[in-house]
Amino acid sequence: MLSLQMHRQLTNPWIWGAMFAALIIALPLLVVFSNILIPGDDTWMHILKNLIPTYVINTLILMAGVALLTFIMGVSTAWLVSMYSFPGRKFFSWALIMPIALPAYISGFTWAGILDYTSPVYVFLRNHLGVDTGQYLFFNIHSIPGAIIILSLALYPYVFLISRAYFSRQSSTLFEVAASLGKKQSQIFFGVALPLARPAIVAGVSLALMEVLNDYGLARYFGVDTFTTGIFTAWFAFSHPQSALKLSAYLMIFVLALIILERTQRGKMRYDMLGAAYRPIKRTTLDNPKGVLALILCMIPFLLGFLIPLIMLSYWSSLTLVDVVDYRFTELLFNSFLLAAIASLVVTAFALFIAFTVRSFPSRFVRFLSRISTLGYALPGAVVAIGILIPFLWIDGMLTFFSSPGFRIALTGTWFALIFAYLVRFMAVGYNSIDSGMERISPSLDEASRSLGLSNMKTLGKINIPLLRGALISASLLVFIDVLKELPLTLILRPFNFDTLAIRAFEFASDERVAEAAPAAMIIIITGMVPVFLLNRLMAGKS
Amino acid sequence: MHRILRVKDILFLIVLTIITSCSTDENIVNVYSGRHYQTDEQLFREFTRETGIRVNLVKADTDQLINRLELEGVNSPADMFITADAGRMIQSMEKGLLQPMNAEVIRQLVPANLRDPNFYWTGFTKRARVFVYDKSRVNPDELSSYEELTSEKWAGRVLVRSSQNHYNQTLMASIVAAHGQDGALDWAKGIVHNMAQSPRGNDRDQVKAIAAGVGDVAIVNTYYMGLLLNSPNSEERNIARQMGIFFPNQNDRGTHINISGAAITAYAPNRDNAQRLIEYLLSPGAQSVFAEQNYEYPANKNVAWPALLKEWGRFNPDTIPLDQLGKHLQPGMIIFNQAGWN
Repeated sequence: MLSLQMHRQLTNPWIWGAMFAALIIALPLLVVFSNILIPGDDTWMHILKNLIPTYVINTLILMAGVALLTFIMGVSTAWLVSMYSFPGRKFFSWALIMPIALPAYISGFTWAGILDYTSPVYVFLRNHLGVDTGQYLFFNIHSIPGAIIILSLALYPYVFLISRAYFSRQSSTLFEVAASLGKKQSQIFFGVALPLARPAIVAGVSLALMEVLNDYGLARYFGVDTFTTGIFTAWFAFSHPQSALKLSAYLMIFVLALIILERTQRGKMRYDMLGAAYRPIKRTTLDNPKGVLALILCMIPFLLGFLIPLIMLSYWSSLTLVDVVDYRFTELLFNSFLLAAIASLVVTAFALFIAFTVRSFPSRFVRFLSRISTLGYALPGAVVAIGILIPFLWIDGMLTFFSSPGFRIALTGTWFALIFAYLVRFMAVGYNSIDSGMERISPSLDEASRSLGLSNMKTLGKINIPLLRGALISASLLVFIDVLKELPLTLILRPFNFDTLAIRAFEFASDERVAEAAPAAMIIIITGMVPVFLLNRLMAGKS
Repeated sequence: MHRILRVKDILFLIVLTIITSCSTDENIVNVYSGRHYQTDEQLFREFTRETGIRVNLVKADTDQLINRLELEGVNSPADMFITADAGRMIQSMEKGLLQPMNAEVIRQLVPANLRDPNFYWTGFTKRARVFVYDKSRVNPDELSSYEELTSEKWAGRVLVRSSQNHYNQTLMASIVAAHGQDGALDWAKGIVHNMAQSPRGNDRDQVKAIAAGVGDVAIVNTYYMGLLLNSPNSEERNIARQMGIFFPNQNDRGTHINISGAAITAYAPNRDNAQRLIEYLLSPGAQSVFAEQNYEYPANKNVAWPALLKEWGRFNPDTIPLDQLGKHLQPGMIIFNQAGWN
């Protein structure tokens, strides 16, 4: 029996293909992980004893805070825009995604600029009204609570987008049944919708948490010492990359453990819609006190996470536009857009292929590999870059065979290397969205399709892809915007003389020139808005 | 048939992307730079115009670049390495990533304390780590040295950023060099004791915190004061004008300075072009650009200072040769941690 199953697995091209793909994507991560075997020296012991304990505690607090806030903001707003009609619903159904186009560290700089001593608001209060509120307006944003708020505002759209894709495809039958049993709206939400949406919510929140773990820029600027700042202290301050990689390996174990824990806790529960006839949701109209309340609820994350920072950035841009924007901006825009578009296609395609294979041909090994291949999102980009450079440089070493003086062939520093790097880095973004979407499709649909003689390819094309539409759109959209914002990988792996908008913004920001960074940040946001808007129309058109 | 064609196309594209990284161009110089200023790129363009040598540039974090150079080894395409921190330069030399330059011209232009004795690297600009104080609350006569900042009279008045910052790390190395590890630990504890708030934000934020009344004196790089004085935000300019600049330790070893340095990498394929570019960066014309547009002190001793730098005044820089700071970086980092300077 076992051997028959193994035989089947070994001869199945899908399994082979998925295994190979997942392995290639996981390779850089395994390179990083292998450092766990290197024995620690004095520096390692110093870091472990003096720094790590506080860093771990800070990180856990940060994670808990962001998990809670993104959950509340993301799920509540997704539920509102999918289930109810209220003033502004249509606008918010896409506008609530927008904060994701604002890189968290830019948002941090911007909010610090709004709240600090030289912000226009503060200057007005001080110079015209004579108010003196001390160093900060309202509260000290350079703190753990400050970091939690800024990160949550930047990351809740992951939860919003994936939950919304889920809620809006949910069959209204379930809710009608619950309502006919005399359940109140709140009971339906907490008793039926929330538990059923678990895969989507978990997918979204875990993406947000992985972003928290890989964040370095914001934590460093806010002076919050997290596990990741510890990785960079080891690497940069102690110039000990081995310890940095070793810490990263432990980070991978931690994330993998969390994923497995959640999966085991979910047990054999299934989330597909078998048995419930699908009927699209008819949105309930909210009457006025409630309608306005819904409007306000959606307004908060949009204002704080997007509109207010955007206004500040436009103000700064107006000061610096003339000096900063040059003829190269079109080139930056072109580079950023093209990279993001290619990467989002590649990541979505690989994620779909692997997720479909894992679903169709249960193989523990491939499933495990696919999980490993998503861990690149939890690591700081600079660490992933080392994992990529090592195998690429090894290949380049082989290629020198074909080179002669004055003629070099190399993979490193090419678009190809960059796209591959994004695949490693953003696999989780594609995979989590698509996998959670597949949870909702009943496997019996696939079986029916196969028993009707359709090939696997046709089953994927005719059954899964149309049903996964929303998930595929969210996946490619999220990857697109993530690549647009991506910094550390692009910084070190890019070809000579190659710049992107994110790099331009970062160069000014890291030099403490926030106002000069604003125009590039604005263009990132606007570029990010285009696909959000287009894909949202696409989704609205068909659902 | 159709599908086969598509696969071919994709393969062709892949090959094309790989080939685009082949360099057959003879007259180039490949630069890995940890600096990311527009002045640098402007000067590189000028260099190309004058010499016909094309400058290929990758800018990234200095530590990432050092790591990449290490991983690339013999196959590295880099010819030249630039970083804005002496400590990082020394580390990359100790890792065997650099090779000595032709000393002839550099010896004449750059003072000995700003370069490696064996010409593995040279500084091309310098920055001083000074005290910035509120003119209305602090009398400059009260200020004297980095050490004096630990005395009780400054309790709760000192502002300085995190120990993660390169400039603080190299400053610490200079303190270790002057007082030994025990003395440096006492110093760090004294500063931590006197801090007005736990370290946060960047150098600019320290100056703003003075304006907001959080503290009275901050340890800041001159370069950032130049940026504040020329900020597009008028309020930042106002604040910067309220501040005085004080060069500490004028009565003993001098004010701590750091350099932006350039070096030729160990396996540089275009060694001569890198040498030419470095000499170009040290030329009076280029040095004036750094000084006027980037508020950095010229490393070339023959170049006159622009008005702003003159206004801040002449000062005695710390005379310790920068190449001797490298060995104190790591102990300095441990001292920061022990003193609780996050």
